[in-house]
Amino acid sequence: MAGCLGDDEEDDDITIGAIQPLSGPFSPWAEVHQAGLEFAVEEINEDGGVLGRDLVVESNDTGSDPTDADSFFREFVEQENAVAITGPVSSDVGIRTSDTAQELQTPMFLHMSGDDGVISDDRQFTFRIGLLPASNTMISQNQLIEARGYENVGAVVADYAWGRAIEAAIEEHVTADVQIEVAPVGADDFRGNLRNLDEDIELLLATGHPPGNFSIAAQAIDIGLQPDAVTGSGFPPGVIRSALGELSEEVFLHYHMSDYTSPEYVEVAEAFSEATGEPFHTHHSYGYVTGQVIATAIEEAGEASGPAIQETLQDIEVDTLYAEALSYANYGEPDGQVQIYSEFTSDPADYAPDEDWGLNEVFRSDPLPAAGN
Amino acid sequence: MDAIVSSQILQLDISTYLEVLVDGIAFGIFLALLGVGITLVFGLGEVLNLAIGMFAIVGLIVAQYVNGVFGLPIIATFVVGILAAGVLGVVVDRSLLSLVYRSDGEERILLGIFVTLGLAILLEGVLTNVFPSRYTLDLPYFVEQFSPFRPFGLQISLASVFVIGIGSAVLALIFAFLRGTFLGKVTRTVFQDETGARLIGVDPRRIRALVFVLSALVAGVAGIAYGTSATIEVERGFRFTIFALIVSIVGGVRSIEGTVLAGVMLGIVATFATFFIGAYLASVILFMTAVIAILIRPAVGE
Repeated sequence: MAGCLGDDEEDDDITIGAIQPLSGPFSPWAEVHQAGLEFAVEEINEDGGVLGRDLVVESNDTGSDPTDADSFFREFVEQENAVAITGPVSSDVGIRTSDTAQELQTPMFLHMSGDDGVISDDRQFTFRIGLLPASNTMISQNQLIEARGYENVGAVVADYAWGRAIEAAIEEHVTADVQIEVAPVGADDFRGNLRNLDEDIELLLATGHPPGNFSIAAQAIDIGLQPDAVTGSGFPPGVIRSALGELSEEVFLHYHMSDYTSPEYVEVAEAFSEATGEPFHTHHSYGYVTGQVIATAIEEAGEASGPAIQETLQDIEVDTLYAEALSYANYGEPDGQVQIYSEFTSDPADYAPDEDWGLNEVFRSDPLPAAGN
Repeated sequence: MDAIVSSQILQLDISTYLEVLVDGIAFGIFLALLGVGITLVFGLGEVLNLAIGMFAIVGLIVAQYVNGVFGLPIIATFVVGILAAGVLGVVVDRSLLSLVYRSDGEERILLGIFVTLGLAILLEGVLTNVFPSRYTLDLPYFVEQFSPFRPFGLQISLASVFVIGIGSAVLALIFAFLRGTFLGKVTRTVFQDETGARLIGVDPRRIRALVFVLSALVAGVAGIAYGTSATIEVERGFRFTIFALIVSIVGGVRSIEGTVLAGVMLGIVATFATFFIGAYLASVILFMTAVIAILIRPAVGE
């Protein structure tokens, strides 16, 4: 009887639970992440699956509500036997479900959720995929500042966890003189803050105010500030382009870990485009990489279980669509990852000919140490 | 805190004050447009339109959508956006408000609050799911070509200039309509004495419909104008409604002149407060100013 049950389990699909904000303000993130994840799973299954079993993605719409995210997490694990969960974008969902991941001993792969506190000694089952924490991001932006010789830098941060983390990281890691303005999360008029900055700022950091970073960029130009660049937050490039239009080509820098110029990325992007008719951009790749990482971890572990995946990921490197192979330290913190900064252009990539925009890499950071080191 | 603020104020030169003043007037004109939208409808039909902010959002989103999909000239997209808000106004008036106008007095006021609040929640839910991103509009070329705008060395926001220009023009048109046209005078008659208006053969229901659509169009203008200066998401609509209510109440919910003055005044106060003290305390100051204004204003138009 036990042998029969064991045989049935081996024939079962391996379930990945996707707790995505498919509705609400974070749905643009969820849509592209889900599409990338499903494409990765499809490819993996066509290649024979994992341990002879197919991967299956079950998803539910959290609306970015932490309570719903927690409920769906538990449902996927307890009823669908999910061995891994992915999807959180907002930090409050990330923090809540990090605790759930710890409790259920099921690894969770964040799409965004850059809050430093999502990974700790009490939250060992959470892994970052798409967004490095504030400290790493400011280390990389300091490298950009030093490389370009900027001496006069301004920043606008939001008065909430992420913004304050960016503020602290600026003070710790940025060597240039940075004037920091703090604005409420819900603000949409930043001209007062921007007028408090030096007229001659060379770089404007809007990374610390995700809800307002587009308004900050547009209003800075509107009142006559002329920074070389404005560093944005972790938005899908399609959203940036949609929000800023051609202004995105003037000053805005999109930062990401996906290396869209690599042959591997281009191959996946072309295949995705052919299969779906849609372009494959940086945040699609975060979903795709999530699928790669989970599959690789299961293969290396030799078993499809949450604890095995979590333990295996502490020791392996996974070749992905990023500039550097993905490995983890300090539980789920990426170690040695590179942040790439791209400007928008009017030349679409060959694999996205129907778009009226493209990206051009302007800076690549040095490999960044895992946060907490 | 006082020492810091005082020091800041003294260290700034006149140009900074003027720059912030322009931004304040622009914000005030935006508030005035929204407030007028509330005042027109409440003054005429005793319906407090708590969906006014969503009409502004509809105007902005439709304009941005049309611009993105069809690539029309920006002015054309503005017109389409404003008309979309107007069409929504017609639909709402013919459907939901017809129910509301069947009652009167306190019952109508309460019903109007619930109906328009429900409409606002419905619109926000639907629009957030269909348009979940952030939206902004380019300035028309004939404005943008002056960028960067530095008259007499001042750093003036072109978007603020645009909001002031278009908002003032619309408000002027409203006043011209109410004072200079037959229909406008009929509207004012219904405003002042509905019974008397009926006696001379005016159908108040038709006038209310006209004014509701007018308020929707004005809200559309407000949304589009504001969208040239900031990147807006759908959720902002409720905040717009709050602003509109504050301005309308401070100005006197039946006084369009008062509403306009209140809007401009509160816009300037809020902008200076944000600049010198910060946005959180600026909100407190905005409410304090509103309370003081209500306490000391003369009884106008009530």
